[in-house]
Amino acid sequence: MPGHLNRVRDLERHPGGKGINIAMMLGAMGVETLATGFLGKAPSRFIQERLHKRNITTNFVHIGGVTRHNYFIVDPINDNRTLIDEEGPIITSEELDIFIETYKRLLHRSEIVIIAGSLPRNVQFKFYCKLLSMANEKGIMTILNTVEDNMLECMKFHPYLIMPDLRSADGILGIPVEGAENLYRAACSILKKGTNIAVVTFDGINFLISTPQGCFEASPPEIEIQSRLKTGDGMIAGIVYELSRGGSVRDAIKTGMACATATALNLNGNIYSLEDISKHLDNVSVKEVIY
Amino acid sequence: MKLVKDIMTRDITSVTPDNTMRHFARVLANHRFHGVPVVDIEGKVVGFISDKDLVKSEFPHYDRGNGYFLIRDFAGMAKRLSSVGNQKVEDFMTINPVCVTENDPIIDVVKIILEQGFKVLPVTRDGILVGVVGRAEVCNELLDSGTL
Repeated sequence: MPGHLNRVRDLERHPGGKGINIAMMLGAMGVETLATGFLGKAPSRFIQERLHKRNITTNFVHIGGVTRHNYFIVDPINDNRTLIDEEGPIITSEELDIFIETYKRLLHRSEIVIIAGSLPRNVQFKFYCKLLSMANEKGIMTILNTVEDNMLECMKFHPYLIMPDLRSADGILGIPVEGAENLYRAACSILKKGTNIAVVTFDGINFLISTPQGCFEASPPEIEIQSRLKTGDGMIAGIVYELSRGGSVRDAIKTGMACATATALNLNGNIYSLEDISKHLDNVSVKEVIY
Repeated sequence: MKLVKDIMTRDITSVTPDNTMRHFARVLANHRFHGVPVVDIEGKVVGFISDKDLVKSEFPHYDRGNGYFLIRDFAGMAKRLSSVGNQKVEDFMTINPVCVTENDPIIDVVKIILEQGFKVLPVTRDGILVGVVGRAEVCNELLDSGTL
């Protein structure tokens, strides 16, 4: 309640951020995963230990700043959820250089690179372009999940999959973020910019996936949604899981939707095993659509 | 029989042979490690460098036989590395260090630690660094399960 003392009844701490969320899900599914990025002083040990418990290998650049905390406030009385995102720390040019050196080395052992989340406030979108370009030189499949401002220039580097982060956006490529037809237009417009898979969601639970093989609408079964916090991350994790096993695009979308469904059923959006996902595979809906 | 992969720490923080000693000192300061593997551009382990090597780089006449030499402030030491700070890691690292693979039995790690006195060993797969294992991981395993 604003203006009053508010006591927290229950508190859970989880490492987070898009990249970490996707890595944690892939780890739970048994995919060999490596997480890198920038880690500030305070919670670095906690984050790394949680990742190691999921068999995720880490190679972070430890920075002088403090890693941000985000807060997901659940109000069971009024049945609403509030997300508060802190601004992250400044990254020095030296820390950026160290990251690039680390990333270059990690590319030698990578099959798929997922670049996800916002950029540090003093880092320009060109940084993502550089990461995509370096991966392209090695012939590595890339996946980009970020806000439109970072995404537009990066499209020139043709990530294999693009999913725009529309959580606080009014539109994407000039298309308003509402309505089934606009969802279709948005996914097709991104595909035309030069990617193999464009994934778009306006509500975090129903997805439109545009591919050269066709356009697919993916929806969860009838469930009581607990959280939409990590459904997009779940969609990407599921697709990557299937692609890493050589699965078809349609199967990848199905697994992505099953994974998104599994995250929606937990208030914290976490999944803990492949079984959490596979039990939804027969119940999710993936159908080809033409508008 | 438990294997190295069951207890290793899946962190591959490392330096390269052409990194400077100043950079290495910062890695130790930031990660609070006592040493890290040295890898080439493909991630293959080519050496190991420790805080002891850092001490020896700044104090070349340091003789371990005379007793303990404690470094209390790596960050301060990194700043002070004026003379050797720009020299390369390859000049001070141990070449071809003892490594274990992720499928080696834990007992092999214990033997190496006891016989050769290492605190931490790089874990490799086909020569590529995939983690580290050392006294801390062995002790944790013993405390958790009471056996190796």
